[in-house]
Parts: sequence; structure tokens; C-alpha cells
Amino acid sequence: MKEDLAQALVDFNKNVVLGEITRRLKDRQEPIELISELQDGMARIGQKFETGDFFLSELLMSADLFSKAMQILEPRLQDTAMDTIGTIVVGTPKGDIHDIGKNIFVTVAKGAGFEIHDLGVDVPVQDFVESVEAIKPQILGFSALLTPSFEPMKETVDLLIKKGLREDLKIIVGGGVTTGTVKRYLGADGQTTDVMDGIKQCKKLIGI
Amino acid sequence: MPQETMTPMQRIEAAVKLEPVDRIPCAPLMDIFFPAKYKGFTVAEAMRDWKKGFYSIADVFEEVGGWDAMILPGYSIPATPHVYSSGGIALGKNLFPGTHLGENDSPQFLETEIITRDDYDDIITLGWKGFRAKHQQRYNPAGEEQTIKWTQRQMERYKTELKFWRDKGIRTLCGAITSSPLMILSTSRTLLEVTKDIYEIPAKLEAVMDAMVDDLISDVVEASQLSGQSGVMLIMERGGGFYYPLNIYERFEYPYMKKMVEAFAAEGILTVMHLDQNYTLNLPYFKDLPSKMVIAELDSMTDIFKAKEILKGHMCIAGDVPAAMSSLGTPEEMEEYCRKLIDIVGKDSGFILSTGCTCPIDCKMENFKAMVNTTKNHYPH
Repeated sequence: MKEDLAQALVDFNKNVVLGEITRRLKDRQEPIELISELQDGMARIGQKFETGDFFLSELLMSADLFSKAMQILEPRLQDTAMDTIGTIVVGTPKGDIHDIGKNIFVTVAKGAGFEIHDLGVDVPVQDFVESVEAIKPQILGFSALLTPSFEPMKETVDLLIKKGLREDLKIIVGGGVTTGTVKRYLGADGQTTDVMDGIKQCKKLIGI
Repeated sequence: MPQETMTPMQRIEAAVKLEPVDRIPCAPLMDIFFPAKYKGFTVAEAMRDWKKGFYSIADVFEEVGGWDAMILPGYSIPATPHVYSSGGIALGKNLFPGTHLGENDSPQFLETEIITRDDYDDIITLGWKGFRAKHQQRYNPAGEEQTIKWTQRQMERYKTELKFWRDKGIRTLCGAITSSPLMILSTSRTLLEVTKDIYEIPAKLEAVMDAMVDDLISDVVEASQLSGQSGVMLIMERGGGFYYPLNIYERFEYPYMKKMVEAFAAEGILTVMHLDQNYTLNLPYFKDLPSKMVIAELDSMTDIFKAKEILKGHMCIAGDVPAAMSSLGTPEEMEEYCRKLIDIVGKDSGFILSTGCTCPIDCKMENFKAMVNTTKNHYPH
């Protein structure tokens, strides 16, 4: 009998999630179908977070388990293209190495169906711009915990404008130190200190 | 402009004790980074050179016409051989400008697993002091003699800094620094790993915290006695409602911090609860902490107006000028926000206007001046 993979993820039941994935892959179930079930679980987790039934700790536990499951499934996708709802390039700007919030966002955004290109921490301006140029994402996300990261963000935005890359791109900034003032300073399209709100804003920014 | 009838020391004392004040006191959490940058040194230069670093704070103090108190004196840490010879308050890795980072970068904390689950039995058996002593080499390879000398030098400088401010008529609130057991474990094991412990091995984690808390209390009493300043900064950034539901808070953070705060109060030690992140959900719990012996220091993530509603008449609140406003805002915005804080949170005393967490390195001087001056120019109560 099949276990409810989505519910096991909501319960962050590691044994059931990883055991069920192993068993079903042995039974030749398509990895893409399993990912879809896991994404359903992440959506349920998101709803629980929004209603206040879940806190960040529960999100963290589920996201970690989702990430472990994806480590098994992604290499088996081979040529199967995953349906994605949008593409986000994200990173923590130069001078800031904090990544807890960014990493949670990355996992939850993947769970929500976004294609994510995580540039990591301490990312130079040029790397952000080159990634936008090469990947052509709909959204660029900056994550920050320190005020000195505002300037590299601003330089990135200015360079994107100069290169004509800003017009079709939405920019969102997130992290404990960010506020509406930071959003205005950057001319960003969104700002948040909350992971699930960030996902919601990203969806809204691309018309979902 | 309010008529000043109190000295800065009387003003800050009255605010902490929730007694009437002539105006709201200002006490920024000021370290060397903003002053160094303002004075034109690199951050690394200011860290390497105590005189240069510490006196750059004094220069900023003079330039803005002074403020009412320091939360910490600014440069040195209240080190004791017990606490610091074996790896600091927490055992996590700090990265410093000039050594691990660029000359002008802000110091940063590297989130990495320094303590593992395998260490828990040792902590339970040996206590926190015993664990640190046993594993000293693992966390601090500098050698015992060298590190004890370092701690002694830090404490001597700390006392010099305290005296410097006292001579200016300024009280420093904290003579010791510590963290709650959850905060220590979170920064030493990483947020994710300690969260897994909470859900997967709760009884064991509780036993670890039980084994830590008395040592943390005695460390603070010792540091406070050595520094001669009866106050402690209790850092708790990762235990509140932003991260955890209340049932977890009630089991893994609140009982330990309450025990610590009560023990400090019994020794006459004032606790400054350094609450970065959003603690709005946890505010009602603070009403059970000793009255007038605690300051809730907020960083702008907690709803400070809600804090006033809940904690009015019980404990002093400090905060909470957002770091982004200090670095990107205008003096007008600063003044408007500080006036609002004074009008609402400052009503009936029990409020200290302060920076939300530390004054950011890229704070604009005109904004900082606007913050300090608003306390001097505006008091409608």
C-alpha cells in the first residue's frame, strides 16, 4: 500500500518519506511523479504556515526533508523536464555570508515549483549581472542580514539598468535587515522578512 | 525643548526603575565599526588598535554632544578565564575583518556545526564549564596560558572603558555578556541541527540545557564581579516566536532564561535581554520576570508598541531604530520615527531610545545625530 508522501512530508516523517521514495523508485515509479507529490506536501506546509499552525521551525524541518528527497530524485530525472512556474536567481550580496534565510527560501521555492539558481553568499555584483544575462530569470532575489549589502545590491540594479536587463526582470529583496526603505532605495518590486510571504510575492510578481 | 533636571546616570536609572524622567534617555548599542568608518579608518585597523578603535567612539560621543548611557562600553569584552579561555560564550566561529574578511567588512558569524550530537553526553556529565575545559584545544588551539593572558587583558581594558564612561558621567549597563542555552547551542550546532534535536531528541536536549544553565549563571556572576558592573547582556536571538511555537519556547528557552534572569536579579545584576528578531508572541511571558531588573532591548522586528502595551509598569524597553533607517534614511525620517517612539513607548517612562541592535557600520552621521538630538529636543509627557 502506498503511503501518503505529501502528508509524511508535512509530518516531517523522515523514515516514511525516504523509505517510500526508495520503494517506489524500485517499483519504477517516475521520479517526476514523486516530486509532484512532494510539492503538494510543500504546498500544504505553506498553507499551515500562513494560517499560523506552522512556525519557521516546522518549515525548516520539512524543507530539510524535501531537500534530502530531492537529492535522491533530481539525479534520476535524466532528460525529463520538470514543470516550473518561474525562474529565480538568488544570492547573498558581496560582504555578507549569511545564508540561513536564503537557504530556506531556496528549498521552499523549489517546493513551490520555481526553478532556482542559487549563487550562494558573498556574491559579487558582476556575478549577479552575468547570471541574469545568461539565465534570463523572471525574478532576481537578494538576501541580506547586514546593511553593507545594500550598496552591492544597488550597484547590481544600476548595472542591470545600464545593460537593459532590468525591464523584464522583477527584483525582490529579503532578510531581517530589509525594510520598505531598502525596497525604495533599490527600486525593487518586492521586499519581505518572511519566507512564505516571499514565495507569495514572487508568484504575484510573475502573475500567478 | 525639555528642561533637563537630571544627570544622564539619574535619567537612565529612573528609566530602568520605571520612575519619572525629565526626558527620554538615549543609549545606542555602539561598537567600533560605525565610529571607525566615520573617522576614516578601516574596520580592521580599529580592531587591531584598541586606542584608535575605542577613542573613535568617544569622538563620535563628543561630536554629537553626548548621550545618556552605553549598553556595552564599545570595544573590549568582559572576559573571564572560565568563559573565554575555552572558546567564548558560544563555540561558533566568528570571522573578523583583516584576518578572515576584507579590511572594511563587518565581522560575521559563520554558521557551522562546532558541537555535534555526540558531544551531548559529555556536556550532561561534565556541565558547560567542564565540557569547555575538556575540549579547550578543540575550540581554542592558542594554548591555556596565552588565552588566560588574553582574557585578563580584555577584562583590564573593559574596566578602563567602563571608567572612561563613568568619568564622563555615563553609566554602562552591562558588565558581562552571556546567551541562553538554546542560543549557545543554536550558534554552536547551527539553527537547523538544534531544531532537529528539539523534534528528534527533546529529552536529551533538555538534559544538556539543564547541565549548562547553572554554569552560565555563575560565569555571569564572576564576570560581573570582575568588571565591577552589575549588569549582563543576555543574548537570545533564536528562541522566540519567529522561529518556534510557544510549546517549544516554554520548554527550551523560557524556563532557562527565567532561571538566569531571576538568579541575576537575586545578585543585584540588571539583565539587558538582547532580543534580535521578532519576539512579539513571547512578550506576555516577560511579565513573569523580575520587575524593574530587566530591559527588553528590541531590534525593530518585535512590535515595540505592543511591547509597551504588555510590559508597561513592569520592565523598561530599549530600541528600536531600524538599521536600514540609520544607513539609508534621512534625518527627517529618523526624527519622525524617534518622536513616535518617545510619544508612545516613552509615555510614563520605562523607555530608552536606542539603535535596533548595534549601530550599523554604514550609519549616516546626520541620521545618528537626529536620533540623539530628538531625545534632547522632544519630550511631550
